Amino acid sequence: MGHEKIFGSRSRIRALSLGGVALATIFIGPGTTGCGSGDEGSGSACISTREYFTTQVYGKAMQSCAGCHSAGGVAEQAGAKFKMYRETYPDFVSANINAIRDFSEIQVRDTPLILVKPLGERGHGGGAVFTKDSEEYQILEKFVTELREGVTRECSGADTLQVQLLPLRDTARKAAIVLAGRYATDEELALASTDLGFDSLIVKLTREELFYDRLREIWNDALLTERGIDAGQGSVFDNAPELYDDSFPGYTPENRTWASASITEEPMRFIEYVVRNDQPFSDVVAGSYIVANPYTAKMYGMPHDKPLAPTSFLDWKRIDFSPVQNSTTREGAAKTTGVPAAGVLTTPAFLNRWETTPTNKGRKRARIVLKNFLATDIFKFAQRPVDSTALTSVQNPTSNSAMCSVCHKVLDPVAGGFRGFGEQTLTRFDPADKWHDDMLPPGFNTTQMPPENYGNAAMWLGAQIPRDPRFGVSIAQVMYTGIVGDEPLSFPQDKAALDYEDRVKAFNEQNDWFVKAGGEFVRSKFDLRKLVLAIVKSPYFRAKSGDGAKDGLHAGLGQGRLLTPEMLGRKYRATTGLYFFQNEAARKDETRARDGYLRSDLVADDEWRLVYGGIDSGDVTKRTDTMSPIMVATSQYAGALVACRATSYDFTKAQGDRRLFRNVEMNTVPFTPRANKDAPLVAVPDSEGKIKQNIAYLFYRFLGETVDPNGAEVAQAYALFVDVWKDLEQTDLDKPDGNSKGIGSNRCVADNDWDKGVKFEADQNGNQRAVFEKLRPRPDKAPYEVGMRIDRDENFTIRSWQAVVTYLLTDYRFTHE
Amino acid sequence: MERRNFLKLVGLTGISLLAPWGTSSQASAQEATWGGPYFLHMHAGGGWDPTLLCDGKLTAEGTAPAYENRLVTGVGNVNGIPVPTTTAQGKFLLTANGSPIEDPQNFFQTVGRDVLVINGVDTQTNNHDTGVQGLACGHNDVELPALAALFAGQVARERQVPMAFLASGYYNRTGDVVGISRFPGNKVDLLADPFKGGEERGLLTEVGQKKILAIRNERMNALQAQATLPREKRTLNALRDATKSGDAINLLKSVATGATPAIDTFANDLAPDTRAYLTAAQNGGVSRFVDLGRPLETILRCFQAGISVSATWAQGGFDTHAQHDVNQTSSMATFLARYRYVLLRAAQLGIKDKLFVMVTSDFGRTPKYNTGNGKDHWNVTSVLLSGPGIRGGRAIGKTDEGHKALRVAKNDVNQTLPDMDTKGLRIYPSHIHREVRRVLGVDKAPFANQFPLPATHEPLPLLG
Repeated sequence: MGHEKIFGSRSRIRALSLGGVALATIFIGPGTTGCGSGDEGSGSACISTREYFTTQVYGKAMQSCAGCHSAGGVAEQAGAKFKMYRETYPDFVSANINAIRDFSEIQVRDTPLILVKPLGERGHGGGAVFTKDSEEYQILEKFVTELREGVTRECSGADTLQVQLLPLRDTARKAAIVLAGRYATDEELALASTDLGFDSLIVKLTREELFYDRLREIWNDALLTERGIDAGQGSVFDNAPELYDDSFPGYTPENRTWASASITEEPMRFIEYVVRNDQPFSDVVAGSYIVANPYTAKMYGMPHDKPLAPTSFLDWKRIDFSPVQNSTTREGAAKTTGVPAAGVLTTPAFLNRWETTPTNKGRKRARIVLKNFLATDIFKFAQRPVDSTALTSVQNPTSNSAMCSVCHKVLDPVAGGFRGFGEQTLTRFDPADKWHDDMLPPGFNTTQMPPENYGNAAMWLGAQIPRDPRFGVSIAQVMYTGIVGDEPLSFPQDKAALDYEDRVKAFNEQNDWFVKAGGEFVRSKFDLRKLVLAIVKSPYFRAKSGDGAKDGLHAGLGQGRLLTPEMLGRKYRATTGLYFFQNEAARKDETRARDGYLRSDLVADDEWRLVYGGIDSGDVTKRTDTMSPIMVATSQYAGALVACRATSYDFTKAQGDRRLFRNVEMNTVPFTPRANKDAPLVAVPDSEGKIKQNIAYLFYRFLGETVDPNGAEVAQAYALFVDVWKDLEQTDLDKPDGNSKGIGSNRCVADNDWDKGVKFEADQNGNQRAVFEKLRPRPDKAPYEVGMRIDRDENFTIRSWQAVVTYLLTDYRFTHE
Repeated sequence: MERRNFLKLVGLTGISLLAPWGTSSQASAQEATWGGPYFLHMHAGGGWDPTLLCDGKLTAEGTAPAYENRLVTGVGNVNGIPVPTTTAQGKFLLTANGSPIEDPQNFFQTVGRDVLVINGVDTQTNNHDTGVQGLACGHNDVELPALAALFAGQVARERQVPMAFLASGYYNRTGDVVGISRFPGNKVDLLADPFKGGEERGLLTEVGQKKILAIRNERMNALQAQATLPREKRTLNALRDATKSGDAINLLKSVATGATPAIDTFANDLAPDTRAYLTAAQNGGVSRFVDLGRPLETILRCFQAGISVSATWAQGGFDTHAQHDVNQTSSMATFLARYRYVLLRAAQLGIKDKLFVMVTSDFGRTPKYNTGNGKDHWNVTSVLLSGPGIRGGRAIGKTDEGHKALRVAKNDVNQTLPDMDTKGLRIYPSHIHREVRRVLGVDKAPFANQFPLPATHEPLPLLG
């Protein structure tokens, strides 16, 4: 399995036996409505029942039916029994096929009612939609006939995509970078060439610290809770006023800052906790416990075994009690209220980010729940014009007008799950809340919430969500978006497009994949690591080439996802050993590490992050997914700065310990330095081969490309190396007394031993400053030894290599994976 | 800015023309800047209430009035535009925290006298995202590129405008016809010449920089030739476009380092009732009016420098479900003041005759108050347009006393018809987009057919 392969191969077609009846194999040619017969060698493309339904039945024949028979349509309002599901419903294909199959059992004089009504007979409310000889009718007739006969066609694998995949080894390299922000070791890459070794590596990556950073980023992209919330929101609990109220003894601005950071990060830390501790991911909505650090625990009125100090910020632990809110009754008595705990749904940061108002009545919260935990984008659920003239004649239109109720009957019951968390303070809980009588009552799907659960509605809602098959699909979609970089495909709308059927196939294939991956995730007891593995092994992560003329079929496929600023920031370190930073290499910031951490400006600096297309979870909530001119410039500045530092630093190490230069030394020069500028350049034997070998290695390390050391790509980079080297050598001959053997920019001098960790010491102003262990000084004219400072470039090779590394770090395949 | 001025600027400031950008295969280096026209889309985020600006209304008759206004007691007619004029306390002014910021009547009589008001626009939605999308691209159901992106994309086909589409609005879909740019603030020095790294000696030797540029083009050609899958094609194309747009990025410096305009140059064009407040300096020494204009100043300077073609910009605060009168007038006040700033500052910068401005909001607000004294989502709104060739100082379209949209005659948009009259049409955002596309010439762009407006909406000759 370690070799490159075609994802899927020629169709393998089989007839299924349903209901004990063996059925003949049937082929359907693309674009035809009928079925022919054939065998595996006939060359006919396999079209599965699902694909035929999507492209022919749903995409063509029944388009006119969907307008009335889908949720909220005229037919439903008129009490029609037959219902269709639009493409915004997860796995709408299965739902519709099942609906048609069921309905086709009803017959009128041996003819299924579903084939009678569209002809305008038997009181069809929509009149005659088809004539009997129309193409649409014949498509429908054949489909219904097959369903009644029990025919179900499946085509093996996902052969329809017809793409070549990255080999497992290359997939492992990419996965280590994008999931765990590190470069896989040689041993890991070798082991990953087998399925078993590959799976084991991916699971291992999901247990590493930087994966949890990535996990929080992925979920914040969806929930956007890191916009920020002030500790003052904790006032609703009234347990620790000293954290936010300066009139209380013990209040300090620092404590308020730390408490605010804690309450802001709580939802993402909850998710991290669940995954880190191998809890079922369903706990993210159904967990009836809180995950708190000492600051949030104090706000919630809960004990925590760590002190209230910045060094405890990262001590997030599970507490199996509900938070407690205190208040004073009208009579002046103290009252204590338990607050429901339903995973992230009841965290103040979530409730505050997705606020409720007297009129939105929790619907914004419900929309986010539906989108991210139930794979239902309510905004696309039933897009249709809203006519105010029609609405004003309807009392309470969100319930009683079909135009509104189509969405509201899905939305409002879920909104009712936030009963008790009203608009006054957004996060305060009132068990006696009367909610909104004009809305549909709290519930989930067709189940109404039992009134005895009104006092802990969010917990009831949270418990229902994972039982819905859409939950698995939804989690798969959120994780897919984060790991692959694209939103799931939308059902194609342009039926006139030449590649419409290909696009439907692509959608179908992906939709089926989500259903399968979501189902396996559920069956694994909501094991997120297995879901990550499924995504990484899928063609959506691995496809590397296909048919250049089939963009429709290949929609959503390909390498070249633009790395987010955070991912690019980590990739610099993963591949070179150093982050991109302008001034501050490390910072004492206990929200990231107890003892300080090495800093990437593309992660920690809000301005750089936004300039490079990132988000702030408030004003900017969508990541830029293609390069802009400013982003190109940013990647070039960052790449050049990292290259300049990392190149000289790498040469301070013994060859076997280096990340970058494993085939060369500082004195591996392409030509013998000349005594004067009129002397001819004489090539050094073996040097070109060694330099090219090293360049080929860097192509793989940085870009994931396996290139021939004697090929064109390496030749270009080698020419760059040589041109820079010659220029420096010539300059040195021209100006022997100049500083032509310096290192260039001071920022390129290797002075700190970055790999030996960082300490923090107070400066004269009392501010904590990062201190790195220094490399040994190199005395004048002393030969270079490993571990010495590098501030000279006597051989002109360091600056030549800086140019090559800059070239590669600013390449398309470095900034995209 | 003309090309020769660009060269002059580069020479004067010592900025190297050597920048790490490739050269375009479609456009020459002489075409690195854009001299206009420019397109600015200003959006009032959250759903504004046009009855407090350009479709003024008083509380309707009856015990259950179809429309309620607890603030406005008088509506005047300014060139056919119904503008609120008085309140129970006196003159109607848009205030924030009790301070007067704008006077709509003065606005439409003076600096906004060339603005075309389109009232009774039916957004067909009361959903924020759909409204934002519909007003930005003209289609509620299909995510077409924003009009600003389409216009920039058309220009970018011919010219290497470095930041053709400045995106700071709510809806910035591009359909891949152009890249998105955001102004990088204080990073301009570094990014104008990134391999220098802000240092005299630079992070790379000059030979290294030149050689990297040379082989980068070959590398990109090779990668594009190899790419077969859509994601890779898309991101490669975007990178190439972004790279070829970069060789005039030095002009960012002229934008970043430009002097703040003096308040004296605006003072006479502010409404008398707001002048004292807006000209007063704040803590930083900058007047309130100039401070309000800051977010737009950068955009206008980018236009003037020729480095941008179009921009989206949005201000929030209009979703006034509670305490509507106070909160809505506050947001409207700063928004209208910023529109005033755009029109005045564009004249100062010499680009007013080349500047199209489209002002929109998600939708309108309900005619009646809710129990929290707020107003909720209402599908009827207004749109403002100004620019060369757009005849302003008038209003097209009307709403009835309950702020429901009336129709305009198909053959004469100045004629208003009852809503059921089939000789007329309701004005939809798509009608406006079709017309603005035509005026901007976007309808002639090679890619225009890829992004059709809703075919079900019969065209309306709103702009003549």
